[in-house]
Amino acid sequence: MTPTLVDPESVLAIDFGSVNTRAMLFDVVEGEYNFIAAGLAPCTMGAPYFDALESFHLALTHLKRITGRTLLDDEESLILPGRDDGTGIDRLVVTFSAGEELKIVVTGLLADVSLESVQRAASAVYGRVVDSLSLADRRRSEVQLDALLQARPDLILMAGGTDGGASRSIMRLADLVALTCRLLPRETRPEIIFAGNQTIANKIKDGLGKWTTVHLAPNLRPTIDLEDPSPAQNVLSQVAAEIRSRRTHGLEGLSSLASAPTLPTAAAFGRMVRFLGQLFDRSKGVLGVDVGASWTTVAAATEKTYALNLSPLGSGAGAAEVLVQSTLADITRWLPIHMSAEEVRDRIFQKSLHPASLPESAEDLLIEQAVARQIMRLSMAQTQARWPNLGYSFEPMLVSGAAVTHTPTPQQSLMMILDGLQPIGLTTIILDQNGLTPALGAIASFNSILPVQVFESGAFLSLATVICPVSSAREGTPILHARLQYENGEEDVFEVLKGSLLSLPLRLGVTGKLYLQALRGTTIDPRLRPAGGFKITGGICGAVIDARGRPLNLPVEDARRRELLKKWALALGG
Amino acid sequence: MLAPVTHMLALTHIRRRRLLPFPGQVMVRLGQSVKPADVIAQVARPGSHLIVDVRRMLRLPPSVKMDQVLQVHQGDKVEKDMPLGEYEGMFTRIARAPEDGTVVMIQGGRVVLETAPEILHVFAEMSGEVTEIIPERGAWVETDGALLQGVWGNDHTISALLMTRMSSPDETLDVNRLDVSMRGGILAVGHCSNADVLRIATEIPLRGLILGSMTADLVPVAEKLTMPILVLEGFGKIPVNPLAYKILTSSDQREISLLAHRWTPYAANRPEVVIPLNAAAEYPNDTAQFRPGQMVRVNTGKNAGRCGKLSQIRPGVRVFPSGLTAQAADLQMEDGTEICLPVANLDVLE
Repeated sequence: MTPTLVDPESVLAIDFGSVNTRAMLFDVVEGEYNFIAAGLAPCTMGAPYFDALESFHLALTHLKRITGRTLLDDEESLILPGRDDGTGIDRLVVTFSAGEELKIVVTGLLADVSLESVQRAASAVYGRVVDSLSLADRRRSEVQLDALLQARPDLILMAGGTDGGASRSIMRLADLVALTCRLLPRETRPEIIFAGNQTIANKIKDGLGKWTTVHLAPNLRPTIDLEDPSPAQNVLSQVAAEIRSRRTHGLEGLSSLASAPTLPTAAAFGRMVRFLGQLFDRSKGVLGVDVGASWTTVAAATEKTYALNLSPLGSGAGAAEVLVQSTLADITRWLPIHMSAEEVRDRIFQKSLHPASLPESAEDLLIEQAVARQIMRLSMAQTQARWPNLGYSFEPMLVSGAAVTHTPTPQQSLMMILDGLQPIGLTTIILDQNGLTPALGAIASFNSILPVQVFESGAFLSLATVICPVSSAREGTPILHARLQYENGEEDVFEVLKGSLLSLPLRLGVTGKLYLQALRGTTIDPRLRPAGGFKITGGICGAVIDARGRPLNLPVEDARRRELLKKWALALGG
Repeated sequence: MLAPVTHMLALTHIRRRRLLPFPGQVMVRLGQSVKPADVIAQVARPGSHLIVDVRRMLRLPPSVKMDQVLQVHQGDKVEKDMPLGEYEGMFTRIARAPEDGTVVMIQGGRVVLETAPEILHVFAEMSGEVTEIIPERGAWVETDGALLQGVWGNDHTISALLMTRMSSPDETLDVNRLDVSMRGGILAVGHCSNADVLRIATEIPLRGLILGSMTADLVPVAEKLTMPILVLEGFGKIPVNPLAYKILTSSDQREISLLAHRWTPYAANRPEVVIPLNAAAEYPNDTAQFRPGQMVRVNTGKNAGRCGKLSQIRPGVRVFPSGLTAQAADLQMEDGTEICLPVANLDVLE
């Protein structure tokens, strides 16, 4: 049960995505916060408009058409706060993923310590690390200088030194950064974030502050064995938002009306995942994956770790990058029909030119879903590489992004997620079909009740409870005995074979008790030893036992692989 | 509903901004006629540097003040072996410039030399007239002519004579069709799927290539070439749209500007072909709403590149063969057939 509302307020969340601008309205209905509706408009932050307000107004017009609610006054200004006649809204939050990616240079001392930490921190914003400097860098100073001048970074993220530790080497790097700033025209100088040894933070600020804007953040590594990137990531998100707002017509003005600082969508998404991590069993951890058109965000919050990783992989403009980071065969292996590799490549590139386009034919949809699977594989692998202790077991797993959520059947969404994320153990897969997670993350900074109540409302769709055991048994041999006891006392018994995908008939919202007996050394869930059965709740796809193995190995032979993909799809119901 | 617009215009007024990324010197005046290769603005940008640690080279104790030692000032041009600093002790020690350059900064005991300054030029890129000066940054250049906008470019530009070698909009360019008579020209063809064709084209050399479409495996090859390559429709075998085909085939042997800019949503420059014409014209509409009667192009799927007239945007949504539900548009195609497609898969040609 969530707390009662003392001062209910309506909230409008605007998300400027690279394809669409979305205006999401939340309000109180029968004493609880609800997601009311979302208005949509094509993004106008790019050519030929270069104006965020254009799509903002169009999205609000669309929202008005859906809800009948007037949000703009006669002069097209947002009515804020809401009026007694029901027009307007009380609060506004703004998030964005649209805009050119930031060019970031990172500096640290030791390559496998502070430089690694600073690279992890930098992966939280829509940017690309264009160069890095550390003690291990053997380039001469002038070569480093020319590289920085050539890279023309928007931002330099500096770390290094524990608090009270090394300072001379950091000052040497700061010297090079100062030189770079002095040689660049004032308009193109990068902003600096210093997140290193706090004892020299003010010295760094005074020294570099003569040439450019310097932001101080808490040390990423206050001690050698402790890394805490979150505070620095918050500063980074804030600075990234300020840079974007300054460069985008209309965004700065809109941000000034907002109740919370404007955030990169990924940062807001991560904040909500972290928030959910505190609501659910902390020992299990929450995973959130957002497959966008240009970027994919992976956020994980466990008891000990918070990971936020952005990759320039997407189902739209980011689709071409998927081909850079993987082979064509990595994508075509997910196709249950024969298509020439050349044709698949051409269609992926064409989609990257027209990210708003939709798959019209079944073949186009299969390609888009194959790309989405590979995006999730790559993004998870990158996140695991940066946070090796994260694992593949979470409860729940929250997935958003049109390529995964807007499918003809929920079973297709579930299949993509199981193939792409390959979870291990017991989890619930939740679909954010309305793309609300970042909005709720932004709202959470001033209203902690709204995100909880909306999350518990029907705005999020539970796809399925999923059990993914791990077993080294041979394909086709029994690895689990399963007994599902329904609420009415009836039972079903199943034998689960290695390599199979089994759908348990449990309707949405209906609970049952599942008794599992592991055979042949099978691990049901590395985190827990379910004894005497455990309660599961059906999602829209019921409950599923995915016994196909981890990592999922697809047959090399094309015809067999395609048959298997079709068989698995059928096992889930199409 | 807001529609993406692509220009395929036989005659229009073209206004393009040519800007430096940071303040510099504008080289043209208001009303000036410019050619594509004329410099609109220029600025020196940081080139290669050398950091000469004079204090360390001369082994100076901290008590020695550098202004007593240094022989150069910021802004001085120096030649190789010229003294940068000199210290007279028992033996005179001299720190010399390792290369020709300019002193761009003196910081503590270090002299920073810029050895190879780069001048960044912004060119007019098309024939026209300077209609507005943007102080310290550049200018607006305007002209009248045909305008064809593409979807992909390899980030190079050129102006030269157009040679249209198309007997049909989807004709494939193969190695045998390239010959020395094309030297110095910009070739317009339907399709290319062979990397050797691109390489041989640079050897002839062609000055540029306008393709209706190419296969995506050629992207890395095309990106490495300095010869501008522009793709009008996209990747796969997609024929040149009828409007562009008509304009290209009727512009053979005309001087054109091939601006194969890299296209990103946030860049002001799209890949485009400008064919200046001696006739006055109106500004084109860069923005549009979908409405019946418009010429639209299908941009993805098996119908990619096909053009037709928009009959209607259907109310509500419909289910497509993929199983997806989306807003739909009915199109009357050039060949008389009618098709229904997601509105999201169309752009307006005008």
